[in-house]
Amino acid sequence: MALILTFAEARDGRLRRASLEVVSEARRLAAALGASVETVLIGPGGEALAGELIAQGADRVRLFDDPALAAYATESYARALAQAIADTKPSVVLVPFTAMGKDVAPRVAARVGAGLASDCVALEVKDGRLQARRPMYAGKAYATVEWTGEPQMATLRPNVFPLGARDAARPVELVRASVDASARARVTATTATAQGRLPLSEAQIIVSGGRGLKGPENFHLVESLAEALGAAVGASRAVVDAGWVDHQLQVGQTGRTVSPSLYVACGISGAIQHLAGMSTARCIVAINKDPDAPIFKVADYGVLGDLFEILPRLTEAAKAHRSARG
Amino acid sequence: MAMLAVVQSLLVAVLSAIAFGFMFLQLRRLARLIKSGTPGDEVLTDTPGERASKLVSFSLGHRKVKEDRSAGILHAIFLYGFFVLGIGHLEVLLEGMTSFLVAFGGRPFTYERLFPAGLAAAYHASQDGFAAAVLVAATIALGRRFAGRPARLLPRSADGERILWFLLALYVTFFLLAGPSLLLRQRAAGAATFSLAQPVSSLVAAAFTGFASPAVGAMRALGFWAHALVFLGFAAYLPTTKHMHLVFAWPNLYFFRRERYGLPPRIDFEKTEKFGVDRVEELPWKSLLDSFACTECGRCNTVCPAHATGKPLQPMKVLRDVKLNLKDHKAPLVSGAEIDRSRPGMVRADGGYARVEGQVHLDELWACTTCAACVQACPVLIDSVPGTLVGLRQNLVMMDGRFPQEATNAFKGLETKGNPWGLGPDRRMEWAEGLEVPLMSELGGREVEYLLWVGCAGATDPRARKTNQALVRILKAAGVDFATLGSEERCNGDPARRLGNEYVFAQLASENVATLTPYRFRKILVTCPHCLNSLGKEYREHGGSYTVVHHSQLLAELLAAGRIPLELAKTSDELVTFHDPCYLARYNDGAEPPRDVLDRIGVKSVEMAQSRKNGFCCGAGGGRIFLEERIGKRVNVERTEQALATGAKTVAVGCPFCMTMMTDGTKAKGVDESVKVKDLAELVAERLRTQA
Repeated sequence: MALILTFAEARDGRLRRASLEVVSEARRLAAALGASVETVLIGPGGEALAGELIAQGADRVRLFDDPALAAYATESYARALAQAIADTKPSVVLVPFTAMGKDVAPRVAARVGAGLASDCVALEVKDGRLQARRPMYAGKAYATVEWTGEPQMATLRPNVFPLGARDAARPVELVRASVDASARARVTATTATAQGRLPLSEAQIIVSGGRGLKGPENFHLVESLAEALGAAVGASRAVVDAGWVDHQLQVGQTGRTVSPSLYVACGISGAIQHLAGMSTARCIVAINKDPDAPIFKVADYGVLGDLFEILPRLTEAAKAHRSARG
Repeated sequence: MAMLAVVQSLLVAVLSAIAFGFMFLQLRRLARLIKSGTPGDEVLTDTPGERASKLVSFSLGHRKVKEDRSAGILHAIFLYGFFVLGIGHLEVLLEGMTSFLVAFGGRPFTYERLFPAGLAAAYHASQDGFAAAVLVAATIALGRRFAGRPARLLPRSADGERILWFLLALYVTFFLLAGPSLLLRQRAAGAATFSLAQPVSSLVAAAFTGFASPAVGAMRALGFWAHALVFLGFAAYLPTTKHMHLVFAWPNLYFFRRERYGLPPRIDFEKTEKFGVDRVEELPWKSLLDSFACTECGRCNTVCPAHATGKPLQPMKVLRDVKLNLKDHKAPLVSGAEIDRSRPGMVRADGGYARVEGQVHLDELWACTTCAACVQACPVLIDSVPGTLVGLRQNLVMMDGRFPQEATNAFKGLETKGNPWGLGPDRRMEWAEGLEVPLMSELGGREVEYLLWVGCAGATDPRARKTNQALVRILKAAGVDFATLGSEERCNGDPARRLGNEYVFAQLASENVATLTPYRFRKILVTCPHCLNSLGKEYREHGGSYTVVHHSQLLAELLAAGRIPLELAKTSDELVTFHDPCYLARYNDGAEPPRDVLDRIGVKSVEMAQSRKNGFCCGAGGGRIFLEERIGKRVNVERTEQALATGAKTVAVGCPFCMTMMTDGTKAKGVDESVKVKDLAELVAERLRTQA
């Protein structure tokens, strides 16, 4: 029987959502290909996470649980995945297009001689073979690609593929594997910079504040709306330079480049330096009292008015909507 | 006695040989070190006449030194004193070496025996006067260093102080020799002790009048030895110090760079595998010569916007680093040492880093805005500092991939979209919607007078778009024939080049040259001085030679010719101050047209203290607009404060980067409601006569 092999990324004992998305997509394809799904999970303690992968659609989890593989190292992780491919001879290999996936996949593809389609946003089965859709020219065009050989290897863009229904009743099947865990470069320490907030680059919704807020004491208006929307908080450079918030929150040319589904710009005029970091957001809502503010030129929805009046009402509305939904 | 004279001769000869031999060996070593640099890629020997006249006016004429008046006077005394008193020092040595003639009934060498009486008196007068002047000057110079030290003389330099002590010793002993000499001479001639030609020596002589001639002779001998020894010690000491300025300033002035100052040598990507500068000997020899021509006067530090706002960069220290590194050749020229700025003792009083000597620290080299204020300020035409720093950036960026993380976005945008903000070519004509701007590609081969080079900011920055929109309205009102490239245009590459990404610059330059080649146009018109500089001066090496005009220049010409229909009633009383873009005023000699424009549209303008060629950068140059500014005060805030100090309600600019920086500055100062930042083109367009 044909096999789809997926790569699951776990950090700090938790599976990344993108790993589950990849498993879900593999499950969907497996039906069309008449294949089974096996997921490679690297790192000690993977046993506890295997159930979640199975529930999401994997038939089997291949565990590399050598304690020496606790910290991510390009070399050893790539070796493990390559070995899994060599051992299982899958026809399809799917890897999430996360930082780790971006690092590992090309190396493994080269090692096993597979064609790699990176950053795919859709996969289809046609005549028993895979077809992938991937954006080009910063999303201005899409290319449909096919593989000429096997395994057909692809990295999948996070937050694009839906999670299928969970089935916790599926039987858990584990395969233990081991690999040479040595690496010439290893992580000696990781320093966390997050401040307990949702990281900007992964957020689906971002609410950003600018100088229109007049002072740091008013920044809570942005934070409240973000909380009500389950959004991450961003800021313009002016606000960061003025020391109202940390540089970590800066969206723009010299800060984070983000492309969330929804970007709410509050009191941000839309200087080029800011636009460069967020104009690829799927939907932009601008709240500003200056009708000439350039942010309105890129906004899908513009709210012309006083944000001190608008933000609290929007926050209330979002909260009400949330509680109504349960 | 005779024996003693012979011994004296021998001793003077041997000591002179040692001192001057040492000096010669040192000079030879330094010359070899300088020659160890790369050949560089520019002709530095053309137009000998111009070079010689620059040499004379900057050295003997003190053209730059005299801008600081008191220091200029002191320097003139030291320089001319060196020449005039040198004649006397030679006499002392010759006298010492020929004193053995006494043993044979002769007399040692003196000029007096050569010169006619009048000339001898003039000679004595010159020595007396200059020695006294140098004594006074050295005393003042030392005093300055101990009391009320000017900021530019920080940190304290042992070298700088020691030489002044040397000068004091040299001319105190000079008078200990000249005083008794004069007394003996006057006694022999039966004249009064006081000589009008040598007033200071006469005062010293007066102190010895109570002694008999043999005693005075002994004192003279003591004075002679003291003076000769100090002088020879001085000669041996000099070549190990920064004072080799005395020797190397001359060739440095002669070999000034005309074209490529502020730039590292060209890179031939086809032939080289190592890019940029890592080791000191990878710098061009002229940049190494610069480091020896520097006497650490600190004028460059004073005008450096990075230094003025508390960054660790000091142009003078970069030169010293190059020199120290060259002399000891051990480490790479860049130091990436972790500097915890909050730890006491790490940051010195003058802002520099305590433990980084002979190496340029990352914080220093990324702080440079390539504004070239240091080049403008240098009295000996040292022009290598921005170029050296960009050379170091090249190595870090292209070999190591080490650069401030936020530059990634600019590099990526430039590489993939030809736009530092990452906006695609398809968006390059959005600014011109409704303006009916003709495209070059639609002219069917017709020659156009001006190819309007819109620039990335002009095309995609909402604020800078307004500048180009205003300009187009003026061009149309004045009936100027122009067209643009539209989506065919790419960034000129200046931000990439200045950030050290020469490869991307070369790519963009070749691409733009290829785009321009089939089109026919007389001149290129730009609203961005960085485009002006790249297209006008730096594209030649990629095969593009164009006449490029900054819009301030065209506006001034059109206004002078009366071609712009103005409505004078619109003239308001607003006070305007013009902020000079570095790449316009300094790099392209364009300080006057903007002022001409302001005059001709009838606005009242006021100058900032630092303006024209001495302008203060907005902080955006050198690609810094695409970087964060993490250390010290923000440069744009400093410059905005300078602009606000004039009382102006409008800050006029002629560069989209300056526009961003000055606008951000007014926002940071919270005056953006009352003080506006406008481009020259906008100020002119506001006064256009409305069509009936």
